Amino acid sequence: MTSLVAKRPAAGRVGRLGAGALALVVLLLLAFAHLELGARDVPLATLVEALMAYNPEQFEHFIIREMRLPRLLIALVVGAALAVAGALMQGVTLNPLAAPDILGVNLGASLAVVLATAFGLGSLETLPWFAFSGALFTSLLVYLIGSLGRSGATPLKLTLAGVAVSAFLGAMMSAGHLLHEAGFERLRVWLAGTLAGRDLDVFAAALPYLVVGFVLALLLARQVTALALGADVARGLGIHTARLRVLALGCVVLLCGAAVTVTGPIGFIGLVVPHMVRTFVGLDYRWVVPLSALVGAAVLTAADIVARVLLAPQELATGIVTALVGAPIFVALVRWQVR
Amino acid sequence: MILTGHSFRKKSPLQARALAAGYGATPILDDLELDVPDGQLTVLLGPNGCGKSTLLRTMARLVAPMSGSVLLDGSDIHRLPTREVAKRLGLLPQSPMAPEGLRVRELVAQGRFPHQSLLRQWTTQDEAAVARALAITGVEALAERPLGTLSGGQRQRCWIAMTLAQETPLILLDEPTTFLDLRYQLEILELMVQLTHRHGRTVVAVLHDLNHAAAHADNLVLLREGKVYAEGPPEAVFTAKNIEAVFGVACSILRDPASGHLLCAPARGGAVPVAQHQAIGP
Repeated sequence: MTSLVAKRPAAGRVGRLGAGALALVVLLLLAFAHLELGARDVPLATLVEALMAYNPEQFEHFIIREMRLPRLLIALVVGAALAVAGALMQGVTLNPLAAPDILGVNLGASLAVVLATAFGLGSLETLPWFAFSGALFTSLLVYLIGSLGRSGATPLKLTLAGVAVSAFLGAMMSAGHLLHEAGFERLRVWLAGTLAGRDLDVFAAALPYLVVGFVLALLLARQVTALALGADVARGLGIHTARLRVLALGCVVLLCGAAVTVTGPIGFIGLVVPHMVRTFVGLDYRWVVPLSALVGAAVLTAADIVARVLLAPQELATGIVTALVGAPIFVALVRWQVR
Repeated sequence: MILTGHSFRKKSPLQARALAAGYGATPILDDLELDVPDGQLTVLLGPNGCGKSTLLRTMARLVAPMSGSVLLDGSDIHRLPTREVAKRLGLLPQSPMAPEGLRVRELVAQGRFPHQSLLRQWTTQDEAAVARALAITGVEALAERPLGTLSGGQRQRCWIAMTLAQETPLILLDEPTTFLDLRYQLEILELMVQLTHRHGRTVVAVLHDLNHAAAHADNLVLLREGKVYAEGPPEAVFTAKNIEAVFGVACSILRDPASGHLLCAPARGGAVPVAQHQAIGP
């Protein structure tokens, strides 16, 4: 048996609103810290000035407006997207280990983007679509492999299928690298998952899909909650379970594909954040989805601060920071949630 | 309109017409006809594999028929919008599972799903329906407890409360007493009787225990090999001949001196050899 939440009851409405307010405050603080800290720390007064009365002549203003603000925006939106995708995947598959990175969806999207870029196929408009097809193909493949055999798609089988498919995709990636070194070299940092030097144009191209993904996730939330009572109960309540699964898959593909297009594959946020959120607000996905967005945004912002500050003036890839923190939590989840 | 007791019978709210259904290539239900009587507790009874669960699931539109149809208030249930059906027919599947951290009140609130929409979120009406469901099933005191902390019997009451919160005139229960201790089985059976006779619902349940069925049902449906073998009030159909034909067990039917209900006492070594059992035609 697996369970999707700790055995203590969820907070009531007041507790949930409190958790939401707390998450929002933490997110704002982190956002300010993100703008302020870095290779060059900016005093708070200068920061406020740069936001309120921008003077492009001033170097510090320039850093904040042209470099840190776009990067913050990307961290917020991509963090939210990955966390919401993870929450949906865990809710719909009733699998506590489901997440965009664990099930290989991010890597599938990455490979498609890498191939498109390396062979000069992708443009700003088409890149997200390469990512979507990569994400969709990988999701279906992992689900198919994970469902083989009599017991169906158990959490461990699905996770193993994700690992196997990821290994395969990784091998493809290495093969591509060897065959087409120059084309891949440009993507080396992107593949580690990074927010450095990201182009706002790519972000702008991906944003509409992310917005659609977020709205769809909120619309599906109530049905995802009911699905946790089992497919028969959900159908008895008047839910089209097959349609719900297809829509949720579409939503995950949009969110992960678009996120990967912008930052490359960033791991563990989609896995860990929904668990954190459910511990506080319980299993009602009308709360889990929006709060996952808030907390996911906060966690990726925090990870990006660490990535920039830890070895300053050198920088770590943000994806490496999330992996450093996320991997031990993943082990703990396997230990406590899958029996 | 003047209601004249038993002679007044509304049209059956749930009917099976020439129904064939199953999971593989060969149908489990075969040309089955059934009219569920309005305002009564109907119990489906039969040996393993006779199709009683399949019948219940097909009548609840969880299984699509291979041929024939299920009529809900006269129209084909498999053609009605599923959410429309959910406002008229509530279903509790066999041994449902819920996340252990879910609170009872949250579980019961899920029953309001078909009544809500994007524009119509949680209302006082929903709140009232949940309160009524908790009261009828007697689990108000447990409302804030997580399901994982409850006993099997309490948990089953909570599931029934969820089905009740749906506020449907029809309620279908698939083996609601299985895996419960005798005491809890009796509580659930009594609850089903109350739902029918005090709260005016039409209840259809699959049961395993013959004597429980005979003591509580208004209408007994004996199923054999995918067809209705006999149907009617226990006094009429709970006979040694019918039980032997359906279950392949020789038995005597007695009357409990305390309650006046019929009881089935299987004869020792009463299992009728299969070949001989099948020779007892309908």
